[in-house]
Amino acid sequence: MKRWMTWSALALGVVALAATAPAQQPKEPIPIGIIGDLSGPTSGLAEMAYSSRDYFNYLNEKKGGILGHEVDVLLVDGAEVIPIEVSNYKRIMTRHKPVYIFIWSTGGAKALRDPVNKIDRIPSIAESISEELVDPQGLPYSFVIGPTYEDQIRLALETFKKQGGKRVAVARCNLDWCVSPTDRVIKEGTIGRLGLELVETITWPARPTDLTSEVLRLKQANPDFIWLMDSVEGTVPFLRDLAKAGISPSKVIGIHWGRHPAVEAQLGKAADGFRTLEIFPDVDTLVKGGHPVGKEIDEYQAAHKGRRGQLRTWYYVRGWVKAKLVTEAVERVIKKAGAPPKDLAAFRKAVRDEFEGLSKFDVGAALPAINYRDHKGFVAARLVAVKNGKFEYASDWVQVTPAK
Amino acid sequence: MALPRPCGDFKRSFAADEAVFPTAFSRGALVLFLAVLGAAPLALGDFWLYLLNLCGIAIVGAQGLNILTGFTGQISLGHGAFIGVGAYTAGVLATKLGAGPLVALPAAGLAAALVGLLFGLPSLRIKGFYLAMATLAAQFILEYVFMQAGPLTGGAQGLYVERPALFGLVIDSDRKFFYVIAAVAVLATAGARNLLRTDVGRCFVAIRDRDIAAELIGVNLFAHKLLAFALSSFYAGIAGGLLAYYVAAINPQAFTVLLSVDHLAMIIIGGLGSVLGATFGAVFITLLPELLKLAIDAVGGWLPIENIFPALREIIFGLLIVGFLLREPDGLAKLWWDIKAYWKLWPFAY
Repeated sequence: MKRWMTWSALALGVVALAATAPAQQPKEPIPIGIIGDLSGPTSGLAEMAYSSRDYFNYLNEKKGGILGHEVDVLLVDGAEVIPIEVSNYKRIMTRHKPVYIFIWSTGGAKALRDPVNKIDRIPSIAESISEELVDPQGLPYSFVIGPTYEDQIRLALETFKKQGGKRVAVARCNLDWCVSPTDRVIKEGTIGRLGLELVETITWPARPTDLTSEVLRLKQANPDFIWLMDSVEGTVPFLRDLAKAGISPSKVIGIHWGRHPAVEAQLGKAADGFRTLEIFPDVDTLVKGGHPVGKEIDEYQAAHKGRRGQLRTWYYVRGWVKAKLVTEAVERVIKKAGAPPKDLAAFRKAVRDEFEGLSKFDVGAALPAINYRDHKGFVAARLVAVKNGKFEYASDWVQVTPAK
Repeated sequence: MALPRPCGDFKRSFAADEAVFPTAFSRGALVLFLAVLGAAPLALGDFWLYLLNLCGIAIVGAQGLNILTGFTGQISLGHGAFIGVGAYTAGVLATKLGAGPLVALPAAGLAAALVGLLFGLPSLRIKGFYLAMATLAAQFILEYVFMQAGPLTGGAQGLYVERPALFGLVIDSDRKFFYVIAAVAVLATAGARNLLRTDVGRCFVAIRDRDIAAELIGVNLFAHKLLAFALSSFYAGIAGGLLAYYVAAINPQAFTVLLSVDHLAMIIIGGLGSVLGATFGAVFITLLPELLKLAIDAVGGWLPIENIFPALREIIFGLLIVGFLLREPDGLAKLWWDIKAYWKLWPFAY
């Protein structure tokens, strides 16, 4: 009886102690906003938005967030329509109050230049890599990742020059991100400076189904090289119709969006010789090379089978890497201040400064060192070429020559 | 307590019969509504103000299409492009000529009216589906022009429109834009309502109800159809001008046939031929995606639908439209009238 009473008293004491002990307060979350295109014309690339969200989820599950602060991530659909992207930006800013925001399209990012840089002063990274969004002085809160579209065109032109050709043609879709960068490079005179000659520019409506007439026009111009500026929706029909006209795919170099599994799956060996730029490796390459990002993605996808989890493309890596870079900047701010700054404006400014201060940073994805002083991160790309129906590396990292 | 409302028709003059707000109660309700509208920015955050502003712009556009399709019976699938004409006119005047909004907005309306007049020319010869196809052609032609007239429209890149200044005050926030857009929307709605009470408005309705009969009683079909196109496009142009200033960046992708379909859905769901219906429809179509998002957010925690929401939204959107057409073909305006009729004699309903 006595023992029973002792144990009861002890148990009561423990319960009382537990009840009176100060409850451990969860650390305040870090809000992050993501605008993706989940239902619009570029929703085929939506995994870039999903994978950023997935990384933050991975971080929460694996490490309890950023230094114990759970990441409260909100992903919304901008549908690649400017008013919807702006509306969602306002929605996120009003209701979620993030410290960092991911933006999607060129048009949306352009429309949000003032709100991002002058009104809300929130660090942002766009999916678009148009040169118009890169201006460290004028747009201090706007960042992109990787060489801009214009950088990639210049790199391709230099490659053409090295190969000894002269006559260049431009083939592109009629969307802003296709037309503006090519026009900008044409106007700046890079083609002439390299001793090349622009013999034809053909433009087609976005998401074409048949490009036979355009390709025949191209054949008439008889170019040595063709710069292809379209996403996979245009790349596949273009290469298919090129074969019909008897033009070799080896004359073509495409923007990095064309490095897509659909080219291998739909065209196979018919695309042999086609080259495109790559600025991010895919998941399997990272896994084979033992790079940390590959391991993280594998780990996350293994734990989330049956949901979205089996995406292995470079698009997925890109979104993951972006989220990792943001995490690094936020972590540095918290480490320096000891805690997330209470004042949201100060927090955003500090994250922006740390993001811009990322220097010689290795993100663990087999990329060149990241330096955000120029707001681009890195300015190098690799050439990949289709051989036996599969993409293979055709060059090592090539540093992009800056615009003159 | 029942409010003292007239039961029966005691109107003794034509003016009384035509009054838009016939009772002291309705006039009081109008004053109250305007007061609430004026005070809304004080209570709402940027997000809801942004949505209200989009609603305001959509109301102007929908009233325009309602004049053409609802009043006059001329179907148009080119309304989105006419809005684009207004947006580009305001954008070009503002960015290239430095014109202020007091010049650029009316010019946007006039430019769109001229273009609407041009594409309305076939309306004397064709109607119904054929007119729909002709206006669809207008949509595609104008989209092509927006894209190809690079030096003027910026081509695919579009235009970046600076914030406007009105009487020295830079309109650079959702709150300031709200008052401008609300004023234009109220004026546009009042204009459309009054148009119905004029001889021109009655000619429009006569053409819609039976064009041959209208012609027999002396209505100039050609002139009135063209006038309907011009007025409708004028409204569209004003809506486009407001959109250009408000969103700040315009490109051809913003003025596709989907925008025309959206506006058509607004006036059909709201109630074809009703000014109030066009207003309701514009608000409904603009807010529906946001309300769906809120609903998804509310249930998202215990239903794993977040990842399929974008597709789900389109499905729910479509189902709601079909449901409305089946259950309430006279639109939201009819629902409103039913509610009013119920309360008119409450609690002594027939």
